[in-house]
Amino acid sequence: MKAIYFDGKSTKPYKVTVKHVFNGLEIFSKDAKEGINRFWNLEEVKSESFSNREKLLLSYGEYPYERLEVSGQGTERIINAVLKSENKIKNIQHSITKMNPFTVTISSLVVISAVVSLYLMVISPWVGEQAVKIIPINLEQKIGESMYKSISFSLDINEEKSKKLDTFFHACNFKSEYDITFDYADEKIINAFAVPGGQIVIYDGLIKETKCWDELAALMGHELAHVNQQHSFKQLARSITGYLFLSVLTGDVAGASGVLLENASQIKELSNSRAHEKEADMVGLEYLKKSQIRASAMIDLFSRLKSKKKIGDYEISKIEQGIEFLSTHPSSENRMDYIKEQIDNDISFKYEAIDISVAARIWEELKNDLD
Amino acid sequence: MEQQPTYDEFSEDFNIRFFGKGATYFGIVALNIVMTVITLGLYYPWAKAAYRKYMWNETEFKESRFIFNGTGREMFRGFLIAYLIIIGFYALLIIGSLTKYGFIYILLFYLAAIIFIPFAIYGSWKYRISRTSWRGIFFKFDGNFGEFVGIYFKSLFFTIITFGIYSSWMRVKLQKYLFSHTSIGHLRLGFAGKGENLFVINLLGVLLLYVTLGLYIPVWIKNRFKFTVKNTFFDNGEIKKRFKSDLQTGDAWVVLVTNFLLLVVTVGLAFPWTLMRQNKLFFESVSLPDEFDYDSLEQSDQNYNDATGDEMSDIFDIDFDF
Repeated sequence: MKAIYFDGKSTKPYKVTVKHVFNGLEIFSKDAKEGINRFWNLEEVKSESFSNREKLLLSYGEYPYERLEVSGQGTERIINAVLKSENKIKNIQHSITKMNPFTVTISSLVVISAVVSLYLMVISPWVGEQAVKIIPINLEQKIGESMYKSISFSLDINEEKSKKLDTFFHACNFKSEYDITFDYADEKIINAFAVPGGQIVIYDGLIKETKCWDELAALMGHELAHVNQQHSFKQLARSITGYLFLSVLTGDVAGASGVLLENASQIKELSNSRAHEKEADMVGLEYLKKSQIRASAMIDLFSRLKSKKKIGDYEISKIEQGIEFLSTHPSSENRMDYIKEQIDNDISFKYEAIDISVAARIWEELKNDLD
Repeated sequence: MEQQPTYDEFSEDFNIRFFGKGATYFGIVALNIVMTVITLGLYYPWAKAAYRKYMWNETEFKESRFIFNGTGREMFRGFLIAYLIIIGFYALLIIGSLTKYGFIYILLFYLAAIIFIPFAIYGSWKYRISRTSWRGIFFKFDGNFGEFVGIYFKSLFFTIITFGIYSSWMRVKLQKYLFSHTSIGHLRLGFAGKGENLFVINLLGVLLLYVTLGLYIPVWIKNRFKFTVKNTFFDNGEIKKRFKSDLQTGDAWVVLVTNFLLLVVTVGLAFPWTLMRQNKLFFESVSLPDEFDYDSLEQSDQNYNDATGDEMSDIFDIDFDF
């Protein structure tokens, strides 16, 4: 078959004929004056291309390499012979160039989505969990503080009411390894969120929704669970590993450094996953039980928020790019179901709820102070 | 079946041709993703090599394809160093956001980034050039990092004190340096662009960008591309001849806008097709000067290891859009 040969010394093209013999390629010029007469041992021939199959580029020997451009009939046979001694990846790359466009597209889509979801659902959460495990509490608290600093300026914090929330919390006798502090955001938004390391923010709009002091306690139990279970910290670790992954996939390493800069602002956009929300509900119930506070208060509060959602007359919490509360939470029906189930089926929830008068008094004060 | 290219007559055509196909490229990307995930990222340099090999291979001049001779193994070391540096950058940022005098660390971060940029531009250009061959002849880069850094910081200084106005001249200066130290055989590349011309292009771009609500962007991209191509020349020691590009504003506009829409509609998944389409339009608009004999370029005496010598060369790869 016909091919073009380059000797590695100049760009002069030599028209040659290539013959595939059992262990190699015989290359000789059609024009005897040019005098090309080479034998390439098949095992040392490298295929340089996986471009379209009509043109095959081969290299041979040491730098600066002899080259061969093969095209037309018989190319297929030579490719197959050369590929036998090449690695698997090269073989796959070659078969990709051979596949019809539709098949490549569909199979690539399937493969990419499978791998990306494997990564996002298994690998990156796992890496996140491991990272969280080895980071000491005081570092977590520092990171949380600096995250909070970057969003707290946009919140309208009421110092006096924040202190009341602290007192309320201690009166409820909740336990935590973290130093829990509350901020009361004076904004008509139904929202609450927990920052890694122990800062919890509750909004005026949400206090307004509570109909009894123990509903506020239930809310605190839920948020405290987020802190104690390190939910947002895990989420942060996860998103960082996700970013690293994306930067590797989509392009150059240089991109990664830009992304890292952006991460500082991304921190604000963390939201808890449904699994984390459910865990916070369950753990929150346990806290209520330990403090002997009425567990069904959690159902009361959340079902009220649910009905609100149906009417659609409240603003979904979007504090700038703050951490969303309602939109990421489990669907309300489902949530009511599992909380109810837990309270009804677990015998240990059949305790007599106590009345914490300090908490009740603070709650009344907060409620009375609403406009 | 497509018509098989024939070799009987050598083409007298001095245009660049591009044959990349979206579907094939998508397949290569998919394989890259799978391997990168399985190896927890370690495959990345090989993925990059595969991508480049594909792009180079699908680009043709005078019926001969370009070859990217770099390998994943070569780039692996640079990749590891790059990751260590990124972790270092990360550490600076984290320390910076946690400590009292955090701004010092943040400042250090920016300083480190600024120092790194010339390194990245120079390194990636040198690496790519010295790994590119056509008809078996390697491109050669004979620049000097010290000189490049000198030009870089001098023009960075002017850029800062002119509040960015000088950046067009800076770009031209850097491009001039890199091009004029690049050669293939006895043909040396050169760049004759003038800062003021690029400045006008960019000024128009920025002004019209807002006035036209972004619709001017494709024209801006086209102008910058043509500015680069038409100011690039080959010099054989006797004559200097420029490259040409007949890219039309209308074509560039239609292709770039429809590409953008395709990307939006497909949440980015159309990128292999849009990239190939754009490359085809832009690359194929280019033709090389026909005054030179491209059949007689000779391999220079450098050996391959000279080219490999700079291990740090592929550390940060920033595209210099040419």
